[in-house]
Amino acid sequence: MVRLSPEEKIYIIHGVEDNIREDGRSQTQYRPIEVETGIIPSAMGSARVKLGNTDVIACVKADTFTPTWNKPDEGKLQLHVDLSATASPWFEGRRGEQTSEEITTILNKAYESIKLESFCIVPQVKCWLVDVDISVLSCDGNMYDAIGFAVKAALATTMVPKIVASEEDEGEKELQITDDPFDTWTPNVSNIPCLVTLSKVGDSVMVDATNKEEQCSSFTCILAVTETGKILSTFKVGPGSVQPVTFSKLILEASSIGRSLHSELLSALKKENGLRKREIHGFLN
Amino acid sequence: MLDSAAIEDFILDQKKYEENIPYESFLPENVKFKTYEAKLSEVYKDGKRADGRTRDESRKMYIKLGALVEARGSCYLEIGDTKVLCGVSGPREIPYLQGYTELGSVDCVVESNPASPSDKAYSDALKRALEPSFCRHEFPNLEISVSVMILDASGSALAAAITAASLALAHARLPIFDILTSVTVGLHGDLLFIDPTDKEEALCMSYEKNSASQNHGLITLSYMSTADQITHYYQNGEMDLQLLLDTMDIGISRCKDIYALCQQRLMDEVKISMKTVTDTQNVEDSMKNLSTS
Repeated sequence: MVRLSPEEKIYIIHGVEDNIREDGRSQTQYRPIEVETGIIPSAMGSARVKLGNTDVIACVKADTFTPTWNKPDEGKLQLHVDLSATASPWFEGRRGEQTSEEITTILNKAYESIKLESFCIVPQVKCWLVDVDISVLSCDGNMYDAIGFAVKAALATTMVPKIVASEEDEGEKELQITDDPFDTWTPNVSNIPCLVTLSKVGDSVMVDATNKEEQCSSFTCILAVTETGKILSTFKVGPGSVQPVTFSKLILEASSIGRSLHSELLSALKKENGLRKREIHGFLN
Repeated sequence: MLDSAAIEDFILDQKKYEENIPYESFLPENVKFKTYEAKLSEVYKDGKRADGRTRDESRKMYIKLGALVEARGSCYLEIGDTKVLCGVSGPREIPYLQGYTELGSVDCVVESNPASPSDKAYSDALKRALEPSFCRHEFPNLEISVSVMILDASGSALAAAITAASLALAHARLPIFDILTSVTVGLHGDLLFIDPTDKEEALCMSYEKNSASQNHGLITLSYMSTADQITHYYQNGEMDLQLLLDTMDIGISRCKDIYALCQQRLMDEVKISMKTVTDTQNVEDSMKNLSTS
């Protein structure tokens, strides 16, 4: 991570306050977002998201489990983050492990209150347990937003062989996996939120901060916003505090940004799905 | 009730679906699956909560400063049945530090009684909440350690931990910008519970599928009253935008109430310690008078 001198910080802060940032963006403008799905053939679903120089890959694997008695028709969604040492030497060894663990806990908390009734196969018998493994290959700020995109994109393109319950004798249900390779189950992603990170720099609020801008921000919070603009989770990261007035402004902004991000992402996925034959680019730009 | 043969049958039946069987599976049906109405009335009935409070009433609070002898500053705090003990020590040098840090660090550890397990994320949340209130610029290269033991987690444990930690910092005579107070607000449909107990928290984290309002969740926020700053905010659940903003205002006003209480308690503590100082001085003076005469 590049350390900034006080003068450089003042330059960046003044830029954000004047609504022209270092790279020419406005306060509420994201860097160009690249999403590519299906880049890992062995996974049930995968997506790579590039947000400027931030690079994130998400892989989905699905398993089944017996639900607990008090939640008989709810599936599970588990996230696991791995910070690659290629992103920053900071992530090497024990320290990287600790940071990954912290981020994993935060993310699982943010995704905790999603309604997952669509992840149910047969109530009280079997539900889907969906694991999402995220690896951060390169990090230039705003990692959480990129992770949010990658998770949603990967889940939206996941294909798992369908499991059907057939009524057997004695009223017991037997589960069978279909033989037809085109008969698949895809998770319903309408409940999956997007993460929106907002940082307060000087007197103004901005989205999608780069590494340098993150160093200048006095307050950062992350909101999980659904497609309808509802808030699933809000949490503060990093040191710093904020006035209640600014904070409510921040929440309002996050909700509207979150909604537009959802519509952009869904239309992009739809467009990609419509392509008849698509070459997978991967790392060959 | 179930007889032993039926239970054995049930176990055999369950074995087919492998995995561990929670003991709740063996409870009779009427205990196992409560209706939503039954669950709600257990917690909230006729405008009263289970412990007789109204919805916007906090539980009784008890603060004791200097509960630990060894620590530099300490605080024991009770909110209803939730009991929290906090000790502060330091400042000391940051171990294995390479280079120079301008700002000191706050090292927080939250432990809990094994009987009432609490969250893994609490330590991090406490650190995030305390950092802005502590004058870190006065302690370059140094760290203070705050350890919190949650003795009994019956709701609003994180809020209690934050308030206790801030009071312990004040009691340790360490420089802070302001005393931090924290409150948890629970939300379930149209009902808003201030300072929820653990049962109310569980209700707030669940939702009724068929009801009109799907709003539910918990909000914990910590607030510096004089500086007018929110230092920590954690919300989980599903909430409309407007509701979220309204709930924040309610939480802040409650934080201000607790602030007044904390201030009074600290003033009492100062008075007591001042009295001890003057008392010892009086004794010393009289001893001197005796020796001269």
